[in-house]
Amino acid sequence: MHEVSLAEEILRIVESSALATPFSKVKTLTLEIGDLAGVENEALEFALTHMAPETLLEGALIRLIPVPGSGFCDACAKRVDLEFALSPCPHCGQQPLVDVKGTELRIRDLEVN
Amino acid sequence: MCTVCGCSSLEHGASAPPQTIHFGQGPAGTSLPGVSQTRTVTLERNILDANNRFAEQNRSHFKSHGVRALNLLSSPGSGKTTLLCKTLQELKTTTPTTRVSVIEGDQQTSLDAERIHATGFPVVQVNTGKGCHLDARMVAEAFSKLHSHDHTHDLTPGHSRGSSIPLKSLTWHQVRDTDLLFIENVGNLVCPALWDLGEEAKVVILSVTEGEDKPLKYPDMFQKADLLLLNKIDLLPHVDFDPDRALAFARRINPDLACLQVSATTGEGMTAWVDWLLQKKPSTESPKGDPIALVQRIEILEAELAAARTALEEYI
Repeated sequence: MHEVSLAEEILRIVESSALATPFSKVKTLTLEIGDLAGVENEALEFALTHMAPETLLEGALIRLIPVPGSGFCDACAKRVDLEFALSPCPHCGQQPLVDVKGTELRIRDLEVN
Repeated sequence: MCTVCGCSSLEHGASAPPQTIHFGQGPAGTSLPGVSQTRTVTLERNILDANNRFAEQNRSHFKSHGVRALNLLSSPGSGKTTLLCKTLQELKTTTPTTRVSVIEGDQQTSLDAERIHATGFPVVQVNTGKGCHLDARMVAEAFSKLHSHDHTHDLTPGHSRGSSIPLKSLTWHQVRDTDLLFIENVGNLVCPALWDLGEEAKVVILSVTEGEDKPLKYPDMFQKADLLLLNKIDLLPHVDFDPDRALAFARRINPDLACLQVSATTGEGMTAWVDWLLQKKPSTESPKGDPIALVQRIEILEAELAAARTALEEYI
């Protein structure tokens, strides 16, 4: 249900960026949503679609780019898949791993006109 | 005959206005063959930016007040409010000088705030309406009410008390209004995990009447927590719940998660929980090797000194 709050935040950021660099319509909204970010992508897309009418996002294509959970293991000297953000390395058990990816909640860019 | 192109006009090229075709007037400001006038606005923005800014402001505000803020999180029915009431009673008995206040988050009603109010501690109820979590802005507003900010206030989080401020105005905050701030979040094991409130620690409460596997089902909450409180342990003989197994699941998500077992009903484990609350209080010792903490400590001490001077002036 927090996806509705996230959708509101996204709309707010889009509106404030339209003040900085004026545009009248968003054609494509590209989001990066990490697999470990605690967000249900379908729910977020649903919330955005229902919030869009009469806003800059009306009719916009929403592109959700999932970011798989991973981290770099110093001991194995390689990037490994992670089930949870704080999980140890599935190969050698080292923990914590560095440069953990998959917790992103980002607006990457907007295609506007 | 025109000497430019051979047409019949004698004056061709001399008087016709120059024509301009501008390829940079579209929204994109430029034009490339085969590319539409759509342009890309690169944002690279964290969706929770606005909340995180409020949370950082809260964090420095709490610090400048010497307040340790704790975010209490759980599913509905884990016994958060009962545990909190019991904790307040314990704190009143064991450390009567510790000042404690509470922010109660619920979707509707002030029933929980009334229960806290009955214990005699200051409380502000925040109703989120349809919202499923507290956010940092709500907490900022509630905290300002708790601290009776009826004085002139620069509203700068952390209120840096520079030397330009007259000594008398330093009595504003009466310094250390509160030592502990409990923020009881909306009962929900999912959504509140994402919203940083500016708290020092997140305490997740799991009762033994729930499933042992809840940490695996709701990993985000357990991953963000600093302490797991296993509540209602007086019911262990009556339910099929293995605390070790629950903790093992929780540590699969968060290997460094601390855990305490408590019963708000019998009081079992309450001493350890109160110790945890108080041990992690900001030290009254001057912090070493941390310039920011030192500056904040000096600010607090200066404000205390000013308050004492003002109090003394009343006698002179």
